[in-house]
Amino acid sequence: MAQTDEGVRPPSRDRARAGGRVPWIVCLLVAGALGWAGCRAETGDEAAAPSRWRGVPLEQPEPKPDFVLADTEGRPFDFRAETDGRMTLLLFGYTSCPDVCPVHLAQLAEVLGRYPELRRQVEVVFVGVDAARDTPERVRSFLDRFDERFVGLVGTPAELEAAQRAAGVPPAFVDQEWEGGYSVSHAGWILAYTADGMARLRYPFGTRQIDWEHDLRLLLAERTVPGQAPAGAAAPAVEAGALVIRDARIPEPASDVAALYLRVRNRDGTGDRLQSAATPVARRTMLHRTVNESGRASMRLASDGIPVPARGEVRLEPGGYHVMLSGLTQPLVRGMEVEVVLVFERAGTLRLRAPVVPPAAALDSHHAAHAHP
Amino acid sequence: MNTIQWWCSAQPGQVWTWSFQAYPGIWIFMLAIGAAYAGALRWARGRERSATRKELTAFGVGYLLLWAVLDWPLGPLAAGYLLTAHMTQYLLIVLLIVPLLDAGMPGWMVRRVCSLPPLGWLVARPVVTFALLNGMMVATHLPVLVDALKPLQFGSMAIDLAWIGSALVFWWSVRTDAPEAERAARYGKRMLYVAGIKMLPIFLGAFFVFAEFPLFKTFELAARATPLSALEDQILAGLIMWMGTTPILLYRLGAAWFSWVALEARSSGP
Repeated sequence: MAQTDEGVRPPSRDRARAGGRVPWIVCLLVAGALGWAGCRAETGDEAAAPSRWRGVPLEQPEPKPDFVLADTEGRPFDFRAETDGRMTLLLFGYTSCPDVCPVHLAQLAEVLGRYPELRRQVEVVFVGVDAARDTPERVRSFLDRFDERFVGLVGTPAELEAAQRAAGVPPAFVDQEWEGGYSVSHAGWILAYTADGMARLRYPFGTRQIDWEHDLRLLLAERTVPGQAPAGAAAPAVEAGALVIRDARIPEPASDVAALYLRVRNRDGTGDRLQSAATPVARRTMLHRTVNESGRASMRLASDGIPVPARGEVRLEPGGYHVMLSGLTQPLVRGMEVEVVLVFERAGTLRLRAPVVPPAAALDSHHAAHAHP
Repeated sequence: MNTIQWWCSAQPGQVWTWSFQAYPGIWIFMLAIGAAYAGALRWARGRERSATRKELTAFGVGYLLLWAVLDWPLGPLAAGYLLTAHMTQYLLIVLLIVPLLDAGMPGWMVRRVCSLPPLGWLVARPVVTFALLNGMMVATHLPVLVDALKPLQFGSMAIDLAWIGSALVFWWSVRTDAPEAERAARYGKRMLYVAGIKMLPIFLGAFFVFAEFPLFKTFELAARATPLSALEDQILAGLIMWMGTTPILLYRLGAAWFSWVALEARSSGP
């Protein structure tokens, strides 16, 4: 601090009085700006988590996917069987990921490391989607930076794509020529499967430790998410011969046109075909397919029906095949159940009840996925 | 970091690298400060005023340190990667760099700057500048504000300038500004104010040290720049806030005490 004989003298009383109001006004403006910024930040957090869950509820509960990949010791790892009855967090990532994967895993490692009671009950499974670089050794080494108990899985490109599709996430895309570098686009969220084998929440990049701790305790305490009936109760699986229909639902429509979505699994070695559908709540039902041509989505009539592959599955979902219900004879509101009749080429007629669910959350895979070198 | 930024701000999703990054806004800001100081000295030369070698040295050291803490690498680390870097930056600016700049400004220069009514009003009221400095310390360590402002270049700059501004008016207000007869009393008051700015960091540091979770989203979700976890980084930052102020304040209190004693000795001398 400078010491001078002249020092700093206060201004004259008049000047001080004249200028006296200015600092208070400045202080008020600063306080107002700080308050506004604080409120804005607060509102933003609340907007991101409107429910009591900190994760993002899925539009429909998803069953645990059925896939087999190799673990880091080279042994086959049947995801559904190996994690049966356990709370499981599944992340499709890659070991060269500079931000999303390390931050996700670091967050989980910190929370689980801090609470042994959670660590004992939660399984973390990381699937390396960059088949060319994610070797078992590399995945193991990558995961060991966070927690040696995290499970790492690897596979061939085809196996990895099948696993991602089975889990309902957009398959990762490796771009070798991305701006002169190497880019891997992959789903940036973690799927949380509860002990009953259903995923009802996903956790995007940015999920905080306090949020993980909050939700993991709740998820471990409850088998279902309140406000979302379990899939088995709301839309029970319906079987007809070799076909199993799951997850039938109709998003609450805003007009007199609605869409029916479901999944059809074929356990037989011979393919089948959905030929038509009918429901008493719509004057017309058509089998449609949304196709993307030159960046524009358009609907096409599936005049040949919807094929169900042998020992495979077809998903009727937004952006793909669906049953269009037009000319609704009554308002469809969430909570209702709609009777639907499906006619298959081989399996014959099949009846089911599809619940009307809240409109689809704006889950756009292009937005939800991320890319980086 | 591929895009040019003019001021250090948090870059969510960007991994930290040790490759140099230019921040032209900081250069312009620092050059403006340097030019203003040099301009003031040139203006004073024709009026038989000047700065002592000690003042020039103090300003020069403070100036270089300020540039160092605002610019790469500490600046971007403090803006978006490490709370410890943020805390170090804060303490250095408030307790070391600004006092050095203040010590480098001759009395006539400070009086000239403080002739502006709001500044003069503030500097004449140490209670207000003390409250302002502590208020800024609290505000710029509130998670909601830090997380809202740090990702914005203007927000990050506002935090840096708020620290520099509030520290400047505080240290100006505890300079010896009274006639000789009142100076002894003012030494005592000044020591109380200086000791007072140690109090709040103890409480804030305790919040950081004992928090169960990382408090700042910005630093929690940043790609790790060091082996420290987000919580370890926060605990270390709390300890720095807690303990880091002590040596600097002890030095300043000691300096004030010995100046006071020397003044008393001169006053009672023949």
